[in-house]
Amino acid sequence: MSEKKVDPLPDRYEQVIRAYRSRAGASAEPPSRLDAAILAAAAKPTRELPADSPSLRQADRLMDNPMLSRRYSRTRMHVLRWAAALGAVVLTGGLMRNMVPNGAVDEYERSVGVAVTSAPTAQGAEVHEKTTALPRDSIAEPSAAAEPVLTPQASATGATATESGAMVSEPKPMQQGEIAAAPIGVGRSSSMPSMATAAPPMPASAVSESPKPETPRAESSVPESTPQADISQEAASEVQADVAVAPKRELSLSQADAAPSEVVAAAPASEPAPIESDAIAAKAFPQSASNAQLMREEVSAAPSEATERSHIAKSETREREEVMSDSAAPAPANAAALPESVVAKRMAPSSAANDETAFDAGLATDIDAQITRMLQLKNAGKLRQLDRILEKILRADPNTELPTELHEDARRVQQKIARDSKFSN
Amino acid sequence: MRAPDAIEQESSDEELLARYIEGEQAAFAALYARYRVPLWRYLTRLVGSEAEGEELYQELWQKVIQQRTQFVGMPFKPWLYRVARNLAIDQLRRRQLAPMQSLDEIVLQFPTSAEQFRSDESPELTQLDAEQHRLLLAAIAELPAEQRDVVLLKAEGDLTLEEMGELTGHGRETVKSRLRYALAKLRQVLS
Repeated sequence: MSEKKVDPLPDRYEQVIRAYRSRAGASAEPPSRLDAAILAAAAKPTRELPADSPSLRQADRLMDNPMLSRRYSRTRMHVLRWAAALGAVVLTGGLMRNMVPNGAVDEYERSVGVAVTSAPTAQGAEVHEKTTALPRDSIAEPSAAAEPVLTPQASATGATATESGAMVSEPKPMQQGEIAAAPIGVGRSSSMPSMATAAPPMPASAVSESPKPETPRAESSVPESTPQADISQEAASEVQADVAVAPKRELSLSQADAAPSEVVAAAPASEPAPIESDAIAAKAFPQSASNAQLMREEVSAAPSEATERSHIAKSETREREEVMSDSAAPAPANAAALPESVVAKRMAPSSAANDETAFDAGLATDIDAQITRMLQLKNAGKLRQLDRILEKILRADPNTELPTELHEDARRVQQKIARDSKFSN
Repeated sequence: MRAPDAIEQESSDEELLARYIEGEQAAFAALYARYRVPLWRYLTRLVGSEAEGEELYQELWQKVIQQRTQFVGMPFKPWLYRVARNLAIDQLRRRQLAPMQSLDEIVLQFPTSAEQFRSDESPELTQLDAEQHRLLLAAIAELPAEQRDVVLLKAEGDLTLEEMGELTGHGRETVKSRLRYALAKLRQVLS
């Protein structure tokens, strides 16, 4: 542990700290499924993804979908992208609602071509796994890198091996004391880890702090609505063979589309050594050995030192302090009901006078302030004024993240923009 | 979780991280076991929501795993709490764009319940403790965010005033002042 200095807090305050620690609830700890997922991710900190696949391209397209990107955090979207790359989606119970809210799962299923189902395990763990995929010919753009097609096979160890060689682990509920002794990575090493449910080990470039991946994404012509069907074992074996013979390409996630045939990243010397558990898993699941070998080729995931420095610097920005201060204020029931004076404080100084003028003059460029103002306008029923601001924002950046309350208005404005565009053409 | 082995208990965070970088999975497990509960409580109680805290918790460890090589030679614990705090603040910032929750809603989401309490005590004492526990957490939820932040950094992270000052970007005396105000309020609840 780090060396600790003694803080001269008066004893009466130290008593409060002690009371908190003794009464803070011994069982307030992370769920065991999270423990298992994180340890599994730590066992395989990086993964090699298929460089390209129809579902991957479609997932990329979805990430650019403003409606979905409003619903998902970037991390969640990368999880979906990761899952799409492997042809499967695995969700842990409590996360499912957060991850795929409001029917978005249907859109994801339809677009990417994997179904999301929930299937409690025998142990009662809330593991939801998906293992069906579309018929290969239902996807318009076949890819050289075959998309793994997953069909579950129960195994004695509780992991679910798939026809393609990937495995979907089903972490047992872990009891206290099990973590340190758990055979980390066993049964998961050749698969999409259970961490993929919520935060799988991604190449760092894919989860960088940048708001958007740097590379443009290819559009896909995957049909909007496609039937789902289980793939036969034969077809799945064929896919597995494709994967096994496919040339290995070391690609970072966000670079996959831009340079599918180039080696763009190399594992640094400091990467963890190959995990012994890989061999155990390969032995236990010989059908997954080829995929395990493929997976074992790790890509460089470490971000540059500058990236982290940037992150740390960002953390100390005034904006964050303002957030902390703002959150300390008594919270009104609804942002839209904020008093004028409060809203005015949050906004750029000029925005209270004339929104459009301020916008045009570039004085109210802070999107958060504009959103606050728009919520206020909506609350006041000033929809035309609201639409004018929205239109300027959406014309400038159609992917602007907007709160749920403004989705309907945004849709209305987007329709207007589309109409204008149509007429101008 | 089981207590880490004696060797792992003796190892510093930085040593464990270095061993993990070299490929020793047990080192990560020991490091994780060391911080899993404090970080979980810190995050869930700072953002006031178990669901959001869970997401942040995963994101935090994902960062640790991915950026493990970036922190060789740096004190691990302050960095860990810095990343956790940044994630929480980002989450609070996002939440400001969404409909705000009332304080009651936030308190209701706190990860606490009488059932979770220690079972090795007499029913009367457990009930009393559970009630105090509930009041204590409610009082923490009611603290201004910057005070809640330092209280949790102290109580869960056991960070020094200097570390907290460095982490929050404020001076030692500012942090100390916030901590005193916060603890004075909590003390009233406990008394």
